[in-house]
Amino acid sequence: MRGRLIQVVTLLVCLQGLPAGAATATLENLDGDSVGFNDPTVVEAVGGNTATTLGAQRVFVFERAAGLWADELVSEVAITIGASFEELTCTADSAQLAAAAPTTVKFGTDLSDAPFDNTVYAIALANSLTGEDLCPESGCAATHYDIEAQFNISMDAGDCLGGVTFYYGIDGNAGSNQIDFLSTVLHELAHGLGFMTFVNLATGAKFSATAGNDTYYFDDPYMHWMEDHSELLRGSRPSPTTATCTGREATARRRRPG
Amino acid sequence: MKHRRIAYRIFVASALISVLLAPPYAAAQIAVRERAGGPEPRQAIDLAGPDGAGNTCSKGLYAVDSPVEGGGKIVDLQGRFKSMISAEKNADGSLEIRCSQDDPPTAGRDDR
Repeated sequence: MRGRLIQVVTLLVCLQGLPAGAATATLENLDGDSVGFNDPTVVEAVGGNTATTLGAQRVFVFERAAGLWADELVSEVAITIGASFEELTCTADSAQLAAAAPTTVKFGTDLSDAPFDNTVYAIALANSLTGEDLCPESGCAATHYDIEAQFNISMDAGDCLGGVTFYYGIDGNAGSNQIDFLSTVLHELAHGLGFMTFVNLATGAKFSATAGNDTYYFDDPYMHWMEDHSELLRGSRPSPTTATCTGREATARRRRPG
Repeated sequence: MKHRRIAYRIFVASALISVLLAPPYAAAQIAVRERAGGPEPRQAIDLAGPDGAGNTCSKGLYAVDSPVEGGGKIVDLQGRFKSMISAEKNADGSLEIRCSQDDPPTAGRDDR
C-alpha cells in the first residue's frame, strides 16, 4: 500500500521539484481586439505590476502565475494555456471568478511511461511523461493548447459582489474589496495541469468509454489519491469544500458518526 | 502422428502468446463510428451503453489520433470538466471563496 501511495503522490507532483525553470508555460491569448487581455483601458501601475493598460496588467499577472508554475515543473514540452475573459455568473451576492480544465486527455494505455494503464492523463502531464507534444498546433484534430482557462470579465466592471474587483498587483496586497488575480490564476492552472478529477461528481461514475456492449471506466491521477485509504489520506481530513467524495460507499462512510 | 502433435503444440503456444500479448485494457478497442459532418471516422467515446451506465460527463466525446507517431489517442474534452472558483458574499460582508467542478454557464462574449 505504501508503495502505491508513493507512486500516486509522485505522479501528482511528478513534474515538480527538479531544476528551477525546467518547464515553460505560455499564454495563448484567446480574446478579441480590445477585450480581456487586450483591453486598452489606461490604468496605473499597481503592486509591482508595471503595465499601464488593463489588458496588459492582466497579461502581466497571468505570465507571472505561469512562470511560477513553470519554475516548479519539469517538462521538455512547453505548456500552452489558452485563456480569455468571458461573462461568467455575476450578481451582488455571488460570482464565478474563473474556470479552467485540461483541454484534452490521454489514455494511460497508450503511454509507455505512464504509471497506470486504466487512467486518463491531462495532456500537459501526458506530454511531460512522453517528452513530446502529443497534440501540436499543426496537424492535431483536437485543441492544441493544453489548458483552457476563463476569467470573469464582469469583475472589473464593478458589477459583481457589490463592487468587488480583481487586484492586479503581484505583491499579495489585495484590498478588502478586491480578489487577488495572481492567486486566482495560480489556482486555476493547477486544475489545468491535472489537479482535478474526471469523475462525474453527481453520480460518482468515472470517465467512461463504450465499446460495443461494454463500458469501460478510467481512473485519473487524482482519483488514485482519493481511492487510497491509507493512514496518510485519512489523516488529511479533506474538507467538504476542498475535496469531494463520491459514490454510495463514500457517502455511507461520511454519514458514519465519529 | 508426430507431425500432428508438433503442429498442435505450435497452435497452443501461439494461442497462448497471442493472449499474453493482448492489451491489458480495452481502451483501444473503442467502437468506430462516423461523426456527423466529419470527413473521417473517429473513435467514439460514448457512455451510452445498453444499460445506460457510464459517466454522462464524457458522453459524446471523441478520441482522435495524435499526429505524433506512436502518440495513440487523444480525447478533446470540449470544455467539459472545468473547475470553477467562485465567491459568495456573507451577511457580514465578508467573502467566501469556493472551488467546485462544473461547466460554467457562459453568458456569451463581451464585445466591448
